[in-house]
Amino acid sequence: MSTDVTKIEEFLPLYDEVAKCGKCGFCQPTCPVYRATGKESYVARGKNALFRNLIEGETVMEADLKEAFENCLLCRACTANCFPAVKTDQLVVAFRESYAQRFGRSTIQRWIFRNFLPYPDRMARVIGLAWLSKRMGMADLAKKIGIVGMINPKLETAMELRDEVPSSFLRDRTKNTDLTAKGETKYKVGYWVSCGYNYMLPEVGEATINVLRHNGADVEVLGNNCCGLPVYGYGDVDGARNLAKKNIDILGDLDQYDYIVSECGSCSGHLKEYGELLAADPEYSMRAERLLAKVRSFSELLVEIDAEKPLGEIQASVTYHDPCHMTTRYQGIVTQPRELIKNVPGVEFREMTESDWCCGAAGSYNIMHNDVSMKVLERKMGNVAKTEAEIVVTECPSCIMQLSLGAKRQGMENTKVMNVSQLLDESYRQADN
Amino acid sequence: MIDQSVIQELKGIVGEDNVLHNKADLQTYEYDAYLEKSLPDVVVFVSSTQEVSDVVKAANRAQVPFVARGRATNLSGGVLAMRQGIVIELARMDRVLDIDIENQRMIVEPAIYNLEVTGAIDNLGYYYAPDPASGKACSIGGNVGENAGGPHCFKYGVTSNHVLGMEVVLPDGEITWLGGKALDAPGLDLTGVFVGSEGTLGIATKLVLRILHKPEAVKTMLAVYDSIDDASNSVSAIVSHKMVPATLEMMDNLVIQAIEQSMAAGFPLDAAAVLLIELDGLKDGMEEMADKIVEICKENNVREIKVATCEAERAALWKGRKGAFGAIARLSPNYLVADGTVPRTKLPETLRMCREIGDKYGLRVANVFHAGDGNLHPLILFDSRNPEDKEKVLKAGMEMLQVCADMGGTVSGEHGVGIEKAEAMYMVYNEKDLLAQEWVKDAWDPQDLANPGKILPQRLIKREEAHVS
Amino acid sequence: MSPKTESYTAALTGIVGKDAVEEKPQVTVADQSPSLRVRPKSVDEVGKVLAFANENGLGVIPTGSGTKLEMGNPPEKFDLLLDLSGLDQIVEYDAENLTIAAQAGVRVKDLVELVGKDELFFPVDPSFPGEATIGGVVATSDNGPKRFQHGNLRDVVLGVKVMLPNGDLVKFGGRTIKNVSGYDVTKMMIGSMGILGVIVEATFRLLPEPQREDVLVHAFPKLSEATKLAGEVLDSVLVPSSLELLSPAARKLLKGVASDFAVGEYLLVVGLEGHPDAVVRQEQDLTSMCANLAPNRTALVLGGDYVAEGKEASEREVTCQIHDHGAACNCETVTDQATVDSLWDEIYNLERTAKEAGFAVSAKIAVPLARVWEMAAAAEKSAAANSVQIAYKVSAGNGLLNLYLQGDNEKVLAVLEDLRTLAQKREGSLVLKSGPLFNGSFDVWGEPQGTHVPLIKAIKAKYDPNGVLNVGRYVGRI
Repeated sequence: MSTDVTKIEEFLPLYDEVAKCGKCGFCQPTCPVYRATGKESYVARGKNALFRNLIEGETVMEADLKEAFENCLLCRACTANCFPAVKTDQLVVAFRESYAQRFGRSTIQRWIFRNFLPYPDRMARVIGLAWLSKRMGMADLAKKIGIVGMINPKLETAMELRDEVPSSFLRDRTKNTDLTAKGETKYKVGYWVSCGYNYMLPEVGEATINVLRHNGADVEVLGNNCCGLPVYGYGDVDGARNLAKKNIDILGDLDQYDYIVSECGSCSGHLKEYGELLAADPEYSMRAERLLAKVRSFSELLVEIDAEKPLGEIQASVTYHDPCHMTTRYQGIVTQPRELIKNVPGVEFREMTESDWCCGAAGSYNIMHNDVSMKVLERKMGNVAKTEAEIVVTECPSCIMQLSLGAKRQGMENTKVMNVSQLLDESYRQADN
Repeated sequence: MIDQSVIQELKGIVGEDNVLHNKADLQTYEYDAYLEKSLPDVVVFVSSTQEVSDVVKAANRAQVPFVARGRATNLSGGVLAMRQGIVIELARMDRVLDIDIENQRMIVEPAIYNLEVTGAIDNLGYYYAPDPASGKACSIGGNVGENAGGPHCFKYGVTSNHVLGMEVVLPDGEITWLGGKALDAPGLDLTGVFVGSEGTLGIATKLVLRILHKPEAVKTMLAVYDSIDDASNSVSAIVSHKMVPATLEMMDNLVIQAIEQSMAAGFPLDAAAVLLIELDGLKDGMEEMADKIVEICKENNVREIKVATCEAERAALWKGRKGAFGAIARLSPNYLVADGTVPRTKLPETLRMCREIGDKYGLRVANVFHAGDGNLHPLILFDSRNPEDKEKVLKAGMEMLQVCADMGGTVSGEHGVGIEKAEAMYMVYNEKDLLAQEWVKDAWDPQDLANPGKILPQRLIKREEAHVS
Repeated sequence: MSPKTESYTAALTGIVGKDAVEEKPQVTVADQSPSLRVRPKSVDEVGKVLAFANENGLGVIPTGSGTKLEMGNPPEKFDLLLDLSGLDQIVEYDAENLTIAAQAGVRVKDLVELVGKDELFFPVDPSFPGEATIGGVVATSDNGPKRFQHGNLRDVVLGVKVMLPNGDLVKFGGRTIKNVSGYDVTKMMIGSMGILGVIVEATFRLLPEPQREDVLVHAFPKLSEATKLAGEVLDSVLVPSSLELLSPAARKLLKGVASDFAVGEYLLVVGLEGHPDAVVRQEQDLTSMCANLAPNRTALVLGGDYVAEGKEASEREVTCQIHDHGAACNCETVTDQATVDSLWDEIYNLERTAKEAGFAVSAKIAVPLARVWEMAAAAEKSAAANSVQIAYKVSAGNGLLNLYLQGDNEKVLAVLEDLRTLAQKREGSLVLKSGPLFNGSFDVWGEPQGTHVPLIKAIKAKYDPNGVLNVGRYVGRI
């Protein structure tokens, strides 16, 4: 492994970006990790300084730097509050990529990235095995295997959290069921299967499909792989590109769909960034742009197609947590989910302070840095508690799992966490009955 | 280099995890929002007054200098560890300890963000008046260190007018209280001297703040001018008509252009100056005062003037001012915020001379300033990757301060002295004046361990000695 | 006369001239009299006199008009009274930029009049404005009722020039509102009682004169009612410039406009400044607050010289709008600025009037705002218990209580000690401003709280290493 580097050549394209940082410190108050720890190396300003030092040869790529760049949720709150809008998340990913290239990834991580994520059936088998062992009272064993956590740590957290084990994955559940529009067919919608819903929260996916069908959509469950976001977050940009290309290939002719929708903010957000990810590839970048035209987050689509007003009454106070990838920092789908929630009869909507503050789940973060992640979560749950809402709605499986964990930890047993689609589905169902 | 035994001792005080000393970590504590760097030996996270005291006592035993650090947003190098040593990181001491409405006081820990102080009492109808532009990111402890100001200071005064007492760890580690909730404590106003002492007299660990009832009404106006002189004359005329607005903020043409490029606030690109005026107080008479201000501005050749009629319009008028620094940040990779103060009527002349200095060095200079109190902030644009640029910027900055001093003003309005302006102190004080200031430091910190090398030019640590990287 | 004193006289005469040196002046501080009074006419002369005293180890007490000469513990040495009344020049008056720099001996009244000509307002209203000099006001940090709105000395003094005992003239601060160039030694000089150096010049911030100034006087038979109203005002959006309460005994000392009003009751004197509409609005609000609290109360409204634009003075609007506000309140109105000013003047001189009426002891209590009422009640109680006569004035917006006491020395002392303990329990202080020193047994300043005596000593040692200025008179007998 090489440690003889004095200047990190591959960072040079980002020199202009990092040089914009004037060290004003406005990133600090908005950085969830900094707020939880107070550590300068965890906030954008500190990372920018180190990154610049790497470029200018003031420091060398070494293990001590890793901690700084690991401690980032990629939530982009820093950039949103930065006068020159320094894209620190790009620096972080570039560092993670470069670091892994120099020092290597752990063998198991590499093995998983290469051998599991691109192969849904293998994923299904491993996770199925893990669930099975939990069902048989061997949760610890499953944890010790560790593979699930490496594939997607949230899956592991969810496994710990979830008392009743899902009997089957979403893909299996949707196999021989009617996916056609209820009533007149107005749209053909490709339903993107997010790993989180598929393996952990299949009932959310079912609710989503139900809502889509209710609104005149013929739904096709897509045969997609993982979107690649976790891989990207680890800094395996090539791996993420491969997954993106593979997914584009799997989707094939996009003209067959009016929309491609996901009720996972991370998936929909990342799909919209395929273009940038594949910018250097003339063929795929064009196809990614065409994909962009079709991709919608669930809330975005429902408001766009002027979804049928739900009539079933749900007497509850509801607050909304903006998943990072739904905020203006990524997709900018902010008003839509609120509109959908407020539309549900009986619901009293209560806006939460710092509603778009990251919940701390963020990729591998809540496993690798569980203590900090839990502090970030505490802040979020404090804000949830202040609303005294009975239901927290969001649009991301990671957030659902993290917030559920938070509710459990804070003893907020009566606080329900659900996806926007579940709230709508429930209202529709009530009206139907 | 610091002795390993000191590091061990520090770990014993605050715990292993709260002491940082690898290079990667230290490099994130070698800067603040100024342009220089200096690498400390060790960073210690403290979470209580007792820990601060214990760390300071350890520093005394080892004769190692220390510097307190909060959010490190200061613009003059105030928290750079010029003689290396210990950075005492206060970031985790950020709690509200006491909200005492009936006595109109609040007690907070130093690292709480300025805006979060008001945030904590907003629902009770109160606020904390000093409002530095960096209020979102800067800490109250830092405000105390620098005696920070802000747009509302013309009417309400600066930090030292609102900090009435504090718990302090003195440079030898002793914990004591200066001032308190009551006014007029007998004895020298040590609180007053401490505010603005940039951490050279000890470390404040609790602060007693004066809090004010929120004004009943606010009226905001935005006036656009074809000449800076007209805008400045309007300011003088408003004051001579017996009005004391809370805010009188001005921006010059380069800032206007930058704002328009980045956010389209609706300023004419060829305008020479934009003046933001805000009245606050009781609603009665406010309309009439606003009308009078409009009239005054018209008499002074205003091109156009808008008066906000609702909160949304008010936000729109503030939008440009609030985004000014951001807009400038987009014009150039870096900028130096100079900070000088002149008697208000000298503003137009001072600004002209600042522009000339910029021209001389081939540097672009944008101006955002608190016109009411004659506090100007020339922003000198440059790219810190170019060392020659940086030298020129520093020179130009010093020349601008000389202009302020020559005009009867001073070399630091609200950003402190730090290392940036220590030499500039000679522009306003002679050797005897400075010696009399040094006595304060000598009396408080005879060992010269608390943030050494700041404020006083005779104490400035030269670049070569300081191992500034 | 000792030969030594003769040689001092000769030397000092050489500096300031014969007519400026007085031997055995009729001045006493804690029963001590100086050998000489010296009255320099320039800053330069002050420097030379001080340097001489410093070299010869003479005890120096600076003074202006002597209104606060009594403040402080007994001096350890007192050879020279340094009379600064000769430093009477306005150094720089910049009306446009709202600043004025004046020498120490300039009288407050003269300064107020000077800036008043330009419709400017000097935001300091100390005791005895007719005689008090700005040097003394700064050195003692003495301020009055309007401090509630305009701040204390530390909020309005922008800079000072100080003559050090070694004869060096130094300056601190400047002439701009915002100034963070170096240590804020100005703050430390304010209220330093001249122990560090002699303040020879100070620069003040000025304000535009208020468009209108009214005074509203409410009367209450009970302290608790006044307390309640003051509390309500403080927790409201109203912005009075002052909020003073006079005890029945204190208001009895008033001879002017308020003397016949609601005799025997507590008076809450509320100063209102600003836009005429805002002043009237506050009068209305205050009156209704008052009516809600205690029906059928009366108010005395003193309207300042305000004439609405486009009207003749004879058509002057009076604040009779209050009458519309409810029959619950009976208002008397008087309308001219001279009356307003005269009421203030009586309040500014209350300490003297009290003294003339036999209240020999004057003390000041400072506590957190809301605690001041407990202190007022405690003062009444303690005075009654000790058969001491008491008059007092509360500055509600600042948490200050000025006490005037008369009675047997021992009993007065008991009251003072009692109240000091109570004040300190409330994180406050009690300072003896004037009166007998009880044989030096009662520390004028009290056991220091919220300050640090070793630090003050260390600072004193730097500025006045030979110990010539006001030695032994300060906090901690420094």
